[in-house]
Amino acid sequence: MSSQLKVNSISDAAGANGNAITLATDGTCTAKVTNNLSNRNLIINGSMQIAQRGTSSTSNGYQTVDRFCHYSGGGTTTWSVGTETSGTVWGLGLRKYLRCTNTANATAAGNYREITYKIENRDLMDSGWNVASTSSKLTLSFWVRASVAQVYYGRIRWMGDSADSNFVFSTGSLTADTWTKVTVSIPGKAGKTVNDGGSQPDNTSLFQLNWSPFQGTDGTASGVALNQWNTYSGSDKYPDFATTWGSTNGATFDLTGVQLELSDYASDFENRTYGDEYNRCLRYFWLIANGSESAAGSGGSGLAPVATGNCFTSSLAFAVVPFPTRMRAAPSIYKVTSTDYWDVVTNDGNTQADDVTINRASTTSVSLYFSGNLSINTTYGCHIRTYNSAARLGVQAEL
Amino acid sequence: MALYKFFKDPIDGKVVGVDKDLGNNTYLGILIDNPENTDTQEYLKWVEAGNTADPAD
Repeated sequence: MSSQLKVNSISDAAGANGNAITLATDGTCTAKVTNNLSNRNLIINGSMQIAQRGTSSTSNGYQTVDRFCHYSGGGTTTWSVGTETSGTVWGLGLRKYLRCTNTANATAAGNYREITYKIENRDLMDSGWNVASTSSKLTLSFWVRASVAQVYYGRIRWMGDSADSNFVFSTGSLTADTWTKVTVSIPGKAGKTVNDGGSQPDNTSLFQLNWSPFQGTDGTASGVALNQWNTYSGSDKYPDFATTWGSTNGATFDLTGVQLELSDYASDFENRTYGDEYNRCLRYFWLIANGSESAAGSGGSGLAPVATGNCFTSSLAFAVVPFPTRMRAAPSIYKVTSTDYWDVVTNDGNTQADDVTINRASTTSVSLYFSGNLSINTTYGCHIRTYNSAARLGVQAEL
Repeated sequence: MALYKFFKDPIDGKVVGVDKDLGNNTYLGILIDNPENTDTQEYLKWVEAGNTADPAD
């Protein structure tokens, strides 16, 4: 015995939330499935798992978790990677978060703290989002927690047309020390073109997500409309902020589980493996060598292999490092270096260099030279390794 | 001491880049002729604002 159900759509009992399943006349359907989905999240490292540069910093820019940069003005801010060991987000597989600590408070008009994620233009334009259609939606979702109960704001800055656009969203009133999931529906904007980069290359960033626990009045105005595209202005990026968090020394603001998907609803966070997220990060930053990672084999700690090369002169060793993946652009190098941080090993023995300098770069490799107090024999090739546990070498092509 | 310091190509002796001092022995080594690199773009904006890097060694 068989039966067949012929309907146009299926919705929940109340029927007030749209159709969960909509059936077309050609035998296909669209469905709003929220769980066990993959390849939806346009954000790289939204779970904050990867932090190649380090896990704590008081500096601006890309300093801690990969792909997320952070900026502050006034007072002192500490940015760090936190670990959850139980609770709401931990239960969802989100064990890491990015924390902004208001180490020394500051609430003057020009003061601020802000986390920024810059999405590569081609990833957005190739996502299937119809940027010019107000009915085509992206959905941003994230988990946020703050030590101070108040309303916080975020914004999206969208560049590329004659006037930049600004879309402001609210976290709602957060309960202190409690994780809250925030969902934001982002429509396209009439007048945008398919490749809204215009003359900008696809490997630049025109769409930037921001979260702020505090913004001084130089960047805010009363009555800034939420959840719609406004014209960007540096003087009204946000509505006016409560100053409670901003005036509290040691206040914290935590972010994790960031997801941006082509959809008019938020699905569950897409948990990816560590290796998957790491490989995606390498397009923008790769830590080639870390002196604190003791290399296996003889020679002791702090001797992480860096590259093979040649002794170009008696005081200069050259080396080329190929990348594991093509980078977004030819990179700069990131280095932690000082006296005797690099060990140049030849058939003649080993000697130490004080510095490493970038010489040429492409999207697939970089040539470097090691110098400073070197005395080597040009007859030989060489291999180079770190010689201090603090030594670091990476390549950077961030947005 | 400026935020940036020039460095030279060791072969032809020409200035090709700048080291940006991030503090705590941490630096960015930046090639000046690298227009798609945002570190280069940030350096060029710094120069446009009227700043000058320290001379190379």
